[in-house]
Amino acid sequence: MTTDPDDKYGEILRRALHAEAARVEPAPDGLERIRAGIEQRSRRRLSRLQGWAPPFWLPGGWSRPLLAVAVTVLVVAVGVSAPQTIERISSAGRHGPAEDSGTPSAAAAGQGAAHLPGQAPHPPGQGHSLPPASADSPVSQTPGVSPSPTCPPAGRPTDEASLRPAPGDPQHTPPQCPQESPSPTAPEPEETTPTPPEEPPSTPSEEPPTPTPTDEPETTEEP
Amino acid sequence: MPFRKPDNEGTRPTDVTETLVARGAAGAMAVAWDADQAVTALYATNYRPLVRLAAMLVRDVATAEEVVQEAFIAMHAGWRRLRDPDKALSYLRQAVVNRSRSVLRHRAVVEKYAPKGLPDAPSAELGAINELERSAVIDALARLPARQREALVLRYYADLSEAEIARAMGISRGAVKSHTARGMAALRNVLEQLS
Repeated sequence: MTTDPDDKYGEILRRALHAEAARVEPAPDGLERIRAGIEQRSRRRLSRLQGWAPPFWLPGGWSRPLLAVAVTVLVVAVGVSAPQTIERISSAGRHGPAEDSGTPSAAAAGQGAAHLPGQAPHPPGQGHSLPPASADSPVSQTPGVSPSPTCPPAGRPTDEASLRPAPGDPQHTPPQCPQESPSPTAPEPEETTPTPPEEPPSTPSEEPPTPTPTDEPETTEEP
Repeated sequence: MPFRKPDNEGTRPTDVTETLVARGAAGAMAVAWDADQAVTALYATNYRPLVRLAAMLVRDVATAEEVVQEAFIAMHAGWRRLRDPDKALSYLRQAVVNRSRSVLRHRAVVEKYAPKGLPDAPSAELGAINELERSAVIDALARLPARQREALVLRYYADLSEAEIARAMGISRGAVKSHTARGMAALRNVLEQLS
């Protein structure tokens, strides 16, 4: 852009500016300063990179990768062992429900077994359900699991049974203890001993109904 | 004038013009420059004019030198990012203007909390008329707002076009016109007394 020569103000300004600029004389070592500044800047950048590098490259910074590998191995180990544990849990769940279902049923069977000696004579109206329950008692003994479940739950039903049939059979209620329960049932298993080979398959089918009769009498008795 | 644009034919042949024309003719050679060579070449041709330009803006020679040196260092650091090496001078000029602006901003803050006289206040001790004129104009120029002063210095000292001023200041051409007109209007009282 060329200024208008008639612009005297502009000329005055231009003259003054050039006169002022002519007084300015830069130092001769400007280039050395610039080069020094460039070197300093490159060093600063390099040191900054080195400052960032150690966490990833220096030996002291291997903790993070090691930690990552360790976590990965742990996750893989858990993932590999998980199916086995799941299978164990599932297999235990397969047997478990039978046992669990057996335990209540066994408990119910135990209850039934516990009730049987005491209740077999006591509620004669429910005698149809009771004889198979009486047949269950030896069957429940055959699995070998029944004695253990019969013992703990036997205490509970014995109390219930002892409370209810107590007026009816004061003599049978005390012998409903697990040790004494076989003794009164002993003559009955002798009668049912031929049946066990036939009845073991029927025992699981009969075990579920066993709780129902035990419950039903209670419900039926309550009203 | 050292800041004449190379495209402007018929202007005074200065070192900058010769260099930029030569580089424009041998663009491959200019591109082949590495950052150190570019700094050396541009320093030889443009360092002094740039220091003077910065001195007009910051009113301090030492600070002006620092400003220009920082601009050279920044150009060296960003040399590979420079799309057109032929515009290195434009880049330097823009960096000088921006850094001068930063210096003035910082100085304003410092003077606000520690008001003292400027280190190189223009002196009229010589008593010559030109010296009075110069000092009066420079004083009046120093009182202008920064943008107006930049526009006037770039126009009447660096002799740049409006487009170049706009690029160096980072504003539009209309804003350049506005700043220039307002600055000249503010200086008019002083200049009338001198004329």
